[in-house]
Amino acid sequence: MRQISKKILPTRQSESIANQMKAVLQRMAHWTPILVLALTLSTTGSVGCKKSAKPVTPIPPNIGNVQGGDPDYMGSGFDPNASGTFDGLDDGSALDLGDGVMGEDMDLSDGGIDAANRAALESMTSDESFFAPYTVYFGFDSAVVQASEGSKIEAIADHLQNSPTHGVRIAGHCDERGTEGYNMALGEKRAQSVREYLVNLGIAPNRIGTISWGEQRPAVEGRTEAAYNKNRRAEFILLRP
Amino acid sequence: MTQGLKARLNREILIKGITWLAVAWISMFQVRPAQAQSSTTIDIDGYASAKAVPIAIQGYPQAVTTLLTFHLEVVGFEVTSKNSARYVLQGNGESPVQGILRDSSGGVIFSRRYKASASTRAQAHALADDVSKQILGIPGIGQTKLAAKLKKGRNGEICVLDFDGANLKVLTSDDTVVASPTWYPGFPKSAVLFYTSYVYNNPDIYYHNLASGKRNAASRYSGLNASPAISPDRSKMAMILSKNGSPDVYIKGIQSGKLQQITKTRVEEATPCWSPDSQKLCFVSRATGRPRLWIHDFSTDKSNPLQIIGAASSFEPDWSPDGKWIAFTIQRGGSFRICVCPAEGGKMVELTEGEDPSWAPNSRTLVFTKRTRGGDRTLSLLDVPTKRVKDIPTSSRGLSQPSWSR
Repeated sequence: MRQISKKILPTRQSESIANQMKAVLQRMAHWTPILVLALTLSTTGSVGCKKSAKPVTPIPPNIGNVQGGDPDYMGSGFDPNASGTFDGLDDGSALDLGDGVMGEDMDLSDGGIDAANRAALESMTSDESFFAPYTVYFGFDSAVVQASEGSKIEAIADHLQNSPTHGVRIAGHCDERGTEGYNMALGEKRAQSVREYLVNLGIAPNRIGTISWGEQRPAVEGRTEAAYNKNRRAEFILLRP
Repeated sequence: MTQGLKARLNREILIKGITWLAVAWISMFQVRPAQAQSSTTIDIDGYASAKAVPIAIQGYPQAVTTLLTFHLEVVGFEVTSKNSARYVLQGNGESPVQGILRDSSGGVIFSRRYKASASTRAQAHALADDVSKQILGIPGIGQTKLAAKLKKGRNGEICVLDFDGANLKVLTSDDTVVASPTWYPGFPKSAVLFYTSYVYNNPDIYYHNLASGKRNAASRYSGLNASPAISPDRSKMAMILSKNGSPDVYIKGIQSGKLQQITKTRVEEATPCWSPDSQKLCFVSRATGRPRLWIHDFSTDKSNPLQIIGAASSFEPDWSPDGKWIAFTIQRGGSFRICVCPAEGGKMVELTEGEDPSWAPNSRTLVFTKRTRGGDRTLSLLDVPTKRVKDIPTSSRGLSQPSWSR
């Protein structure tokens, strides 16, 4: 009898432990939906797009880009119909595009663009080959600067530190595997990731411009992985006064 | 005794309070799934499973037959022999174009003759519009236009064409990269295009009046000025600017010129479009990792991801003019597909291979970009309810980024 009860006792203990654990788990199960909801919210929540993360470096006006930064030519609004309304389709005939439609008529005078500033920036000489060996490459669908590419950007920073009158424009590119509209934004993000890297190395933001070419300027034509790898890139264009 | 009761009461109040808070908390989070459920009232499967309506066309010159066939098949008819047709469209072989529409029992639905002053093409499109209005109850698209990018070597130009491929006209001679033309709402009363051009060595947005041929700068901030979209009430332009260090969604007042930043993320946003009531924006953001569609609601001033079942990444949204649907692109394997989902999110329908869809004013037809085997891009038309696809016949190669006038 004693022997039997000895055998039973440990079993009962383990049963009661199991029951306790079950109870704990059941209690936890009650909270699981809340935990899951909280986790879901924290990853896909409505705050995502509004949450201000670590700030990025704005592009100051007047630098690196051909045009003069943030002109206020739209400050007083604009009227797409200012030049007259279109009434050429009453009979379903073709659009009357007129003679002046081929771009020559572009009127920038009331666009408020600072002509002098434009001229000054356009007078800076672009050198596309100087930094050619330092082109930075990216992973598929990524604008993150890979560790292997850091030394190239550091070399650019060294040059800019040693040549205080020089500037640089970073041209971001994509391979053709994205949609055209998205690649325009991705190319810009790539250029701006590299720009941020340079800023973190101590280069003044007003010496660094960016331009996105989307997928429109592949370095290598063709539909191979090797071509795509060469096309996902940010190129440095040296700007001399 | 009294103290014990007090303690018990306190405990009860505490427990009730906690329970109430927990319930309130849970129900707060359940608002979104509940909203997603309500979207099942819009039946995407039902919408995208219609059968093409068989119609016979007889008694027209060859060119008119070709035009009528293309137009009617684009909006959901199937041109067949008289024996298997539910409707018969009868002409008299002459111009001006006439049409007698009969049902299969021979009953006359209408009999019309078109203005001789208009071109034969315009007359035939007007007839096809009348047939689609009468039988399908949809607005006509016979006088609509498409804008698109036309590839020229490494560069491109902006062009416009009729939706059936006729009358292609090149608008620009910038000899550089151009992108994403979009119509100012109100065509054909006004005919204005907004687009991005690199003509001054930076992606800037211009607006181009097709009647006068004049164009002006609409946005020339530092960095990217891309993907313009004008609100249907014509009060605001949405676009992507990168002047604050990352590509974000902005809106600019057309009259006021006031600029407002909508998203503030460290990641890229792209390709905004408007809801027909001008109260919401749909755009692409990778704020939660992969690029997907987000909705910004101006009434709450909040952005939320659009919950689409089955889409890991989604791109290039376009909101249907009737407000019910959002067409977009997904990437699967090495290819792109056109999809449609209810504007509130929920279940999507994968329609065909292609990218960058744009709705016709009838909220039924989509124009989209298709990549050919040789790598060229061409434009194709998709009737969403019947899932039928028709390529736009044009000799011009390299058309992409279409926008349907509306």
